Amino acid sequence: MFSLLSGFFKWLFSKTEVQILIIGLDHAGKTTLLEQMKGIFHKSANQIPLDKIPPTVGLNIGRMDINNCRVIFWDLGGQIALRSIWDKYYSEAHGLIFVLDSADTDRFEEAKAAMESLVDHPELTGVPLLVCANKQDLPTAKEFEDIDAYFQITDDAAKHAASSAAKNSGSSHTSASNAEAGALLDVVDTHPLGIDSHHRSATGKRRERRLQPVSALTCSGIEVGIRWLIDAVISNPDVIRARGPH
Amino acid sequence: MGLIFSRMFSTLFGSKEVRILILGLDNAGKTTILYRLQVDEPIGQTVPTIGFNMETLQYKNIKFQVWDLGGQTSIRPYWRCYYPNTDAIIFVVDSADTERLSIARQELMSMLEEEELKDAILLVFANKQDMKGALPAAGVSEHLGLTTIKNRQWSIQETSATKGRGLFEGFDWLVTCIKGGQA
Repeated sequence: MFSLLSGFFKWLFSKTEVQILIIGLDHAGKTTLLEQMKGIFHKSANQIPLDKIPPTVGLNIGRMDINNCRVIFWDLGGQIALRSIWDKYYSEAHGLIFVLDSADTDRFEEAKAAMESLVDHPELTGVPLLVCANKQDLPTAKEFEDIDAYFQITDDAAKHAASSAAKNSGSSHTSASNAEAGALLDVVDTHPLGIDSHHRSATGKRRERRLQPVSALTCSGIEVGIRWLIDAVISNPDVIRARGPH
Repeated sequence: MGLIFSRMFSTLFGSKEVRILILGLDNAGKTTILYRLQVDEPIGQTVPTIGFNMETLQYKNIKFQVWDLGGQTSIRPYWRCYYPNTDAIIFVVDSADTERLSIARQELMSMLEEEELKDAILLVFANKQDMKGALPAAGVSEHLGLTTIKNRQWSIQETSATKGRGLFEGFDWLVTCIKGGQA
């Protein structure tokens, strides 16, 4: 009886745990972004002085409470030699942040390749993606539109025919997803715990994406983007359930 | 009143000692690293440590109390006596000794499970990079299973203790992380 009550209590008051992966090329500003987030969302946390941040070779961790969720950020090093370890974290990530140096046009191609390998990765199907076009404070930084055109982050459909098309595709989508939900239910019945992520990927779920102009140095754009990402993750319960906390 | 002044003084001049353990299998280069960090001069041949070496060193206004513990199989069980109040662990591996990386991995993983070390940050020195056949940092981190660590700040650094390469770069990371946690 007691365990039932305590279980219920825990269920009521426990916060959802969300794990977010921050990646991007080296020198894009991932760790600076993380440190600034600590300042925004976790006032009491101690920040490393921004001018003293060394290149990350390994993993930095940030824990903070955002939108009533306990969020853990994993900030991985972006140097070429270290990119091979990125995928070790994919299977447990609920959300992705890709950080981009908007002024470093010479490496746009490299960044695009890195981002595409991420988006195409089977373990990351359906995981919401926030692309931070960082270093907007630099005079040479590219504009939002240019970056979007190059990296093709927001769907053309979403860009042009936002509201009207959304309605149409929305209705067709629900009918399709109803059928899928039935199939899903069967799966859940037979395997109450083992939820097959491949099956979920087969539902053809669209990935939530957003391109956010950011200046990690001046903190502009960070809060909006992060809150969007957390919301996108929470409203995507499949991902959380399939991956579980830890 | 005196208390207030002494507190102000200590926050101003940062005199808290940071406790660091240097651990790793035998013959990884822990003792050489310890003395290299202290005097930054080429170190001659060291003898295998039975027991420990402890040095205090001052770097960037922080005082470090660095413990280098012997790495032989028979004395590894005593590492745990030194775990309490540790701020950071430097784990040293011989990058050229690929055969024993799996043993290093076991030791590292069982160490990280210790409750007393759950807040300590981890710095791995992929040492002996001057040797032929030394694995690069990414390879070492894969063999050591660093990528399975999800709840602790870690970093890896390629070093050559005998040549003095990489040690202070790694130490700088440690300092910034610890300062970030303190200031």
